Amino acid sequence: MKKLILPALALLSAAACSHPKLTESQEYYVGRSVAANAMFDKDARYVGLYGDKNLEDYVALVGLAVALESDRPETFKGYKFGILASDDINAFAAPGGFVFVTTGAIKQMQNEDELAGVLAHEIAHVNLRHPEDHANRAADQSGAMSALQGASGLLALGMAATGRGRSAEQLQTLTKGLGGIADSFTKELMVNGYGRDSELAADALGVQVLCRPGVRYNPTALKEFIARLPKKERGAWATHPELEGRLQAMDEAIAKQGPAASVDPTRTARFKAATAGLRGQ
Amino acid sequence: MVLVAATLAFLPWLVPQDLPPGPCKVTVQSASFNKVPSTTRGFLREAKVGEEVTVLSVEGNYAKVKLAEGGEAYISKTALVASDSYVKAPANEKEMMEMKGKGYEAGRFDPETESSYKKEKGPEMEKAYKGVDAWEERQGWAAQRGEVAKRLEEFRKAGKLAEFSTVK
Repeated sequence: MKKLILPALALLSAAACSHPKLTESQEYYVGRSVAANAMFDKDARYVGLYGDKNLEDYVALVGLAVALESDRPETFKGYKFGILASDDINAFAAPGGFVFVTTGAIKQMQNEDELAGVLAHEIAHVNLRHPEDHANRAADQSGAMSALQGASGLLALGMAATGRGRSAEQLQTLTKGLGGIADSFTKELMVNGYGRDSELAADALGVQVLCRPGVRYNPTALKEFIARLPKKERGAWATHPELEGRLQAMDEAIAKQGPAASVDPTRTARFKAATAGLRGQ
Repeated sequence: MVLVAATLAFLPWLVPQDLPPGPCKVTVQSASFNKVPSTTRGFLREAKVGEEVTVLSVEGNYAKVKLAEGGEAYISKTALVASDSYVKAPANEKEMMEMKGKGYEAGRFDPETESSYKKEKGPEMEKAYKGVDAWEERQGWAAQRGEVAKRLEEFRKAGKLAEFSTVK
């Protein structure tokens, strides 16, 4: 019997180590912790969300028009679109489909198609599971994955219903893990993004989704928005050749999509009406 | 026998699987069944998390399924998981407490982990989570597919998007 049990345990351990993965509902709680941490500025002051419900609903409709035609229209509790009250020019996605754009970024946009382009880029990250992959790695580094793996392994063997419940030590490890993941998002990803390859992949998929028959936004608008950003806001793309490379890659992705919709004045008019309060108009 | 059981149990983890035909369960809380392969067009009804359907075929990003009450519909394939791989997730505090005695919560991020995290970080984090709660509540409509379908229809029409675009 020992001969059978030992290899089985080794297999259990190897499988657990080779495939650490948060479930969709766990991604949701990670996403909430990232969202809560995003409510603070870089000096740890609470800023929260911009309190204009009409603008928030408008941003959500633009985001949903794109997200629901993407390759991953479903997350555990659905996509949520929030406007952070921050002058930084930024947008990012957290696990579980929590997507943020700052008031500073919206002020730099000229039309709805640019907003759709920025949101499509973030939705593409969610489609490509970049936030989730990062959360899995961060959970692994924080030590929380070992606590999560233990239960996942048991669940896979149908042995979870032990009746023993969760120990205080396990809860402490998980709490630390949740905080570690949220920290890594707010301190690294919100500042530097997911790395050049992932950003280029999100650009390409974002362009593709924007051109789908169920969407039809102008894909060039995202490129125009990025090209117009002040140099200090371009992050890893600050230097001229780097930015040129990114814009060229977007041109190539756009060319593959065939005829594209142009920016429609009716969309621009409703964008201006929705954002008038933010612009002080 | 233990080795065989362990191998079978971990097979879905070791080999990436596409959605197989057969019994599947809805694994998210914001999905719908539609008459056509779409998340918003031809809305039939909201899908319930944990609801079982039979996958007949996969068409692109959508699964054609047979519903328990009879009839066929489409649902996004990312909303489904094979029934034997489905793990019930506590959706709220009440469900979590119901599952607590069974030991399911041992290694999960869930409302209890969240409460512990808030407590550890103090009142400012409590306030931030209240902001997240209020936001989620405000955007509750975005998880109701019938409501989203209605709003998006008007939004696309007014903004000349999708089928209302001049580009076909």
